Amino acid sequence: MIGYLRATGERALVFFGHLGRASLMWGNALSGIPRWNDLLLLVKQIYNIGVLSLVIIVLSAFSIGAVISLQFHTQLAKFGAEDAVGVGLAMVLLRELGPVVTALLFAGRAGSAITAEIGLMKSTEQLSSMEMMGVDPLRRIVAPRLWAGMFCLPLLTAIFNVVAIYGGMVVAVEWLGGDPGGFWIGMQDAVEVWEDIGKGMVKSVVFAVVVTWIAVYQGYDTVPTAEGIGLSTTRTVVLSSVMILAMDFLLTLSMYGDFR
Amino acid sequence: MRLRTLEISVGAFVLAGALALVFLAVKVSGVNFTGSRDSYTVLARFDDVAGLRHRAKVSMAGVTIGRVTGIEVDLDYGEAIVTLELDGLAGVLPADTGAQILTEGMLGARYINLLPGIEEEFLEEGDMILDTQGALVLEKLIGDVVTGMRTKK
Amino acid sequence: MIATAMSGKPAMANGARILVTLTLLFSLLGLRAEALEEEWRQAEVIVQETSDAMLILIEEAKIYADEDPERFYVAVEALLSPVVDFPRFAGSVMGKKYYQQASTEQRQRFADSFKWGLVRTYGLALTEFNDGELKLVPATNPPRRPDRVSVNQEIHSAAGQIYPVVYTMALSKDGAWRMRNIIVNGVNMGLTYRSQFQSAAQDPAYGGDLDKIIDAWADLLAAEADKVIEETKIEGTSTSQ
Repeated sequence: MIGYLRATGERALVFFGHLGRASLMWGNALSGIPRWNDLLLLVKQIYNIGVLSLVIIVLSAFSIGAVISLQFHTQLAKFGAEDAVGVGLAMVLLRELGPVVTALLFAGRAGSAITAEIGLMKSTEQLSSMEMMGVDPLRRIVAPRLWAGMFCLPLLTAIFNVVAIYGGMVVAVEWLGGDPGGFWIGMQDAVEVWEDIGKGMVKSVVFAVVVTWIAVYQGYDTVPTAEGIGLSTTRTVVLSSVMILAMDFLLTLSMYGDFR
Repeated sequence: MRLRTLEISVGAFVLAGALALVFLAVKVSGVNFTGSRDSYTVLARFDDVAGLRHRAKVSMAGVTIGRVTGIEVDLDYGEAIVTLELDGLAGVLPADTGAQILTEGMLGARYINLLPGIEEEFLEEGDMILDTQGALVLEKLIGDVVTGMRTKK
Repeated sequence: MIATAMSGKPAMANGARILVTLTLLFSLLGLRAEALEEEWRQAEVIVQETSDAMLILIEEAKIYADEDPERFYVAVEALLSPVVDFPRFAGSVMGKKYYQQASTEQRQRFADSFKWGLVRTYGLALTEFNDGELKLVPATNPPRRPDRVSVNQEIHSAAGQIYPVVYTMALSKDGAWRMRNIIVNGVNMGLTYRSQFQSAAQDPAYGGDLDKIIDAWADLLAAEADKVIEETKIEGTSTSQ
């Protein structure tokens, strides 16, 4: 019994230790005035993190949009309300699926890549040699990735939403013969800039911070062995996914919850 | 990886993202950027606005001509005061124009329908529509009244 | 207030004089406000008087209404014409577009058709109105427009049900209050009819032809009157509710 409590206490302390180190890392990485050289690094990271994720985002978006549209259509047809597919699709995507799925895919593809890269750099002593040469690894390695991640995810979410709606439209209008006017007008009538798109983007920014932070920290804190890198990468994906879903729950409650 | 290609692809990516955001704003939510259009505000009093929401559409003869921008309670008169923002310039709708709260489509979205009247004076900015029909199920109630007014012989 | 001011000492100081003048002014204003209030209360009086007269008419009509319903309808029309602005009511049912389009002859024809349609449709239901009460509910607030008053009344049926009725009374140029619209149990009849007229005008069956619509309107209301009559007969002959 005592042993169990002690173990829990130790784990709590370890957790707080991680949190502290992660916060310090974040703070140190983001502080300081960016220089022109840093911009080049940032651009490179945007490429790695954002551009290279496009393929999976676009493909997934199209499929998800198409599938949801099909399922909605099937259910709504029972009530003769097929025209509402556009509305339902847009609402679900903009408010929930867009930000969440994009973030999950991002964590899997870009997050794990970040962790692996940084972890590898740590294991191959690149980080410590950088420090010895007087180059701040936080500035050269960590900061560009942090900024790039926070920048790319919202953009990727927007692209995801657009492609998914397009995929949904293809299914609802072209394949299932729905009315294009009803699809778009119904959507335009129901979707509001701040309420739906805006709040979805806010979620996406929150997810961006969380995922990038976790990915970078896990890489930075890797046990410098091959096994360690694998462990960190996995942890990035798992932890990011859990945090995304948990934060989504909290954000949805606070944004859309209506308690009386 | 050559620097040029990298820069181009990043630029394209950022552009794509920005376009996506614009597309969402315009095509998906129907926000218009055609400059500030003329509009004027008119009030309408109702005895029951059940189900009417902010940003509900205001339509006349089947065309959307405005939005609901406010719903408040007037405790003195025991009525709901709805603020309507209508396109165009004031002085077009007669002062005895009627406003109904109707239901649209399967999902039951409430909206306001305007029926122009015949008075020679017109609704100006801030005027109130007095002739209204609150949210109700009509046929049932007309039937109720006629039935209820009859008694057994 | 005036009496108190008058019963003061003969020689009053200037300050007191001013005070008295102000008091007189304010009391006159109060009277004036009451006078204004009197104007719109008049609308309620008209409604009460007409309702009382209607109840008497219904009572008298019980004797002959079954055999000679027309006589009843004519009596109802005679009672209501001075206090109900049928031409205006009918005109507002046509709505802006069709009212402006219509000729004077068409407007007149529709007003007549509308008037008799209403009298017949609800006239018969009125004869079945036994032992009911029409209770006026005086307003607690002045109207939002001084020349438009909504008069509230409750119809208490013998079965114990209460139906709210609101009469929209308008002050005519000749100083008389006349009814322009009626809201029964929350249903705004004027707006409902206006909406129906608009639908009929857009119906391809009539092709926007006002004459056709005016003729059809009489039929529409006649059909509704027949329906009411049929249902009344069925209801009347059944012994259980």
